[in-house]
Parts: sequence; structure tokens; C-alpha cells
Amino acid sequence: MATLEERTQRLEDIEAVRRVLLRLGESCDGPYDADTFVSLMTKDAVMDLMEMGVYRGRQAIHDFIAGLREHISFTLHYWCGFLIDIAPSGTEATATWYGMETPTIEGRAVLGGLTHDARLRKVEGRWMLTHLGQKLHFMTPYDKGWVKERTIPPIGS
Amino acid sequence: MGTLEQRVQRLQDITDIRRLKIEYAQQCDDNYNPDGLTVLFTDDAVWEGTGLGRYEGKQAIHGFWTDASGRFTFALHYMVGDAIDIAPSGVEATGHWYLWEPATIDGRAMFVAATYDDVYKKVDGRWLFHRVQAHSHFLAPYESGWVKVPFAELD
Repeated sequence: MATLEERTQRLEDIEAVRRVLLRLGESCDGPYDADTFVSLMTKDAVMDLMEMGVYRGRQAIHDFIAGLREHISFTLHYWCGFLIDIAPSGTEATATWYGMETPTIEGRAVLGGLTHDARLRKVEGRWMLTHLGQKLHFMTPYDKGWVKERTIPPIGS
Repeated sequence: MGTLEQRVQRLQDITDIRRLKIEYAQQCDDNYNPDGLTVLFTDDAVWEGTGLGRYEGKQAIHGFWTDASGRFTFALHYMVGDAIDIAPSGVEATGHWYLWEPATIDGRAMFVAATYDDVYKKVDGRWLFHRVQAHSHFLAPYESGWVKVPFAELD
């Protein structure tokens, strides 16, 4: 069994990772704060948003996030259900979580249901994302619901 | 106050029970995977839900999830607001949770709101569900909302 020190460290790391992820979510609450968003990622981080594209490196990620401001005037990220694993090395971690979003997109109320995943690395004592993924389950106009219209067309299309 | 060892163990137990509940949510959202869900329960577990019945033992619980798997074609289980208490024994615990669940049931978009009272047991070093009591507060069609139709009639 791990030492008391190691066990306590693991609990602290889980909490630290959770806080980094929540900070990331908050930085996406409109208006999108691309500077804060990329400050939580390593230089070579990859953001894979599936149907919304893959973005490699801080600059590409920054440009994409900053661009969302033109289309999304408001949103809140309700992130919950974190499942965080700290690798035995203590310097790598994985996480999955649930997200519900309430954006106003092109002036329309939209309700989003997503799940997310991330890989993180501890760099100089600080947890940073090396990978961010998401699965979009629905992004429906509020007056429709996910059975009638599962997702609005991709932003900017 | 417990020893440092006991205090760290308690925090670990709370973390592990949170993980158990999120694994449960993920299995529910994997089309109510009956095998994936049943392994999270003790052999003599009871699952009970308002309007959904009472299922005692792994086999009955497995049957319930198999039936749910056919009716719910989509669900996301947002589990929040957990309050977890570890008993002094260190092998029993209780938990209270909120659930917000957008779901497609019999082809219709629904919002499900529930709270849970859970009892957990530590078996061979692993936390499992011993009792799950799900209190449904509404199961409302997306279009009508929970005031007009608090509990939708299912097919």
C-alpha cells in the first residue's frame, strides 16, 4: 500500500485537476476568454471536438476559441460528474466528465448536452491539459428538443 | 478526531464512492448496460425507484436494466450535489445525490428529475451499491414541462 504521503498527494491531485477543468469551463462562459483557456494547456496540446474540428497547439486552439465570440453571446458550462485518475507516476492524469450548456447562438436559446475527456500532465507542479475531447450528444434549439432537432448546424456554417 | 491514517482513509472512501456513482451514470448512459451496471452492486442489493418497482438481488436488478435498455434510447445522467457519509465501521456508507436527466423514452424527449438515497458497502476493498432508492420528482415531456405534465404516461 502507498504511504500516507502518497495517498494524500493523490487526493490533492484529484482536487487540483478538478479545479483546472472547472477553470477551463468558466473560461468558456461567454464571452469566451481564449487567453485563460490556452493558459491551462501545454504548448503541444490537442483539442479534438469531432464534428467541430481538431485543433493542434496553443495558437490554433486560441484562434478557434476566440472565434466563438462572434457567434455565442452567452453560455454557462455546468460541468459535473468528474471521474479523475492520477497515473502511478503522479505526473499524468486522465479525466471524463459531463457538461450541460445554455448558449445563446446567433441570438437563439440553445441547450447542449455533452461529455468530455481530457489528459493532463503536471508541469512544474501545475496540472495542464495535453488533450481535450468532447462528444456532442445534443445541441438543440430550446424550442425544439433533441428528438425533433438533435443539433443545430455547426457554428459558422 | 481520528488518526491521520483514518482521516485520509475517509477522504479516499468518499472519493471512491463518488467514482462508483459516476461509473453508474456512465453505464446508464451506455444504453443502460445491464452487465456494466450489475457488477456495481452487492449480491444482495436492492434497487428501488418511484413508479419503477423494487428489484432485489443481482438477477432481478439485471432484468430491470435489460428492460430499461429497450425503452431508453438516449440518456445523460447528470449526478450532482453529493453528500456522502462513511460509517464509523469504515465499510458502510450512505449517499444523497441529485439527478438531472435528459432522456429519450419510447421515442419522446423527456426531462427526468430525481434524488437518490444510497447505501454502500465495502466488499473486498471495493465500494459497491447495497441499496439504491431513486425518488422521481418528475418525468416530464420536453415540450410540456413539469407543471403541465409532471409524469408522462409511457407506452
